Amino acid sequence: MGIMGILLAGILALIPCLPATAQDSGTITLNMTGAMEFSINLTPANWSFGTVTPNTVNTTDLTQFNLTVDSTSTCAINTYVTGEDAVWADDPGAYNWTLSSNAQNDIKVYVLWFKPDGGESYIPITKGQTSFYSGTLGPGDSKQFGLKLLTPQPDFTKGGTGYFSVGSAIVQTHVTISAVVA
Amino acid sequence: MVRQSKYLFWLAAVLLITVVLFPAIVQAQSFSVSPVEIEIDNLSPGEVTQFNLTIHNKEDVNHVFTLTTYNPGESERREGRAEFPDESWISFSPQSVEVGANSEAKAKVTVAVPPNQKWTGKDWEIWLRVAPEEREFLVVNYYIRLLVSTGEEVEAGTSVGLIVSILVGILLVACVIYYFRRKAKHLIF
Repeated sequence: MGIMGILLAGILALIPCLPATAQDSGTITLNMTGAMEFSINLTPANWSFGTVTPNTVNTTDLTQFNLTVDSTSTCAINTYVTGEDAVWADDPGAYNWTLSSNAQNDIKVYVLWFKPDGGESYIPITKGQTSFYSGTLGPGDSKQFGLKLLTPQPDFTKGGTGYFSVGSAIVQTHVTISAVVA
Repeated sequence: MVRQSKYLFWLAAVLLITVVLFPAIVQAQSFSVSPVEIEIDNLSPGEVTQFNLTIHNKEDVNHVFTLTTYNPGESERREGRAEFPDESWISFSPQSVEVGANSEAKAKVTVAVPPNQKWTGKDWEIWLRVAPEEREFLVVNYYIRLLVSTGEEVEAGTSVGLIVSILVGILLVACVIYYFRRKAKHLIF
């Protein structure tokens, strides 16, 4: 009778813990769509606008750049474009141009646009994510595009001519094209 | 000071009044990532889950890739998915992955939602970004969609319940041993 009482007391003590332990059997489901894969190719990866002067527009051909979804890809993708500040290659901390967020240039503020071949107008590239192509792109799809650059207003003017304070220098920037499964 | 300004002016004037944008270097990196979408269901707040990402470097040279998170805007997320509340709940091991030429490497992703009732029954989306460390003018980044749905229960009680169960079990066994020993003593005497 005594041992039965002890066992009963033990079982009663365990009852409050049962819901918590039952939770252990809850299953986390992890679905990984491993069968899907994609990759994109951008050509050419590099480009130079050459020598530019303050407050001037410089454009590439609209077929200058090419984005291709690899034909081995197995899904459609959405694409986005972002830009960033341009920096002096020799000393990035000493001189830079901020990428405009409103398509207006200023002193040390430059503007960059892209335009798909056949597109109606140039679309500003900003530090925020902008849709590169409004629809989805599938395996083998290809989009050509061009860039337009509006350089900053001069750092100073002398005799009616505008100058950049760094004189002749190389200024670098990057344009990122991102892809995600549609 | 005046002399220095004059020098800068003449330097600028003599060395041209121009700036060159985008130097020409090499060509774009070619890589892919797998899986491209991950859906985690019934992850109770307080629980931790892990999975692997595979990065395939398709080039003839080694590359280093960095893993980060990105919270997409509403229009970019799947329908019915809300913004992931805290990017620090996701961690990568390692955060930077070196992938050999024409080979693959894996990184472990850990998702841990804190044990709080307010995180139950949620449907979130966040993107995992894979970006090459070496960058040319045009850079390719890939995102992996991570869809996380939390369970209705907070998992914090589980370990507490388990500890209490073990303690009660030990107490129970101790009582039984004590009872039999005492009974045995009575039999001897």
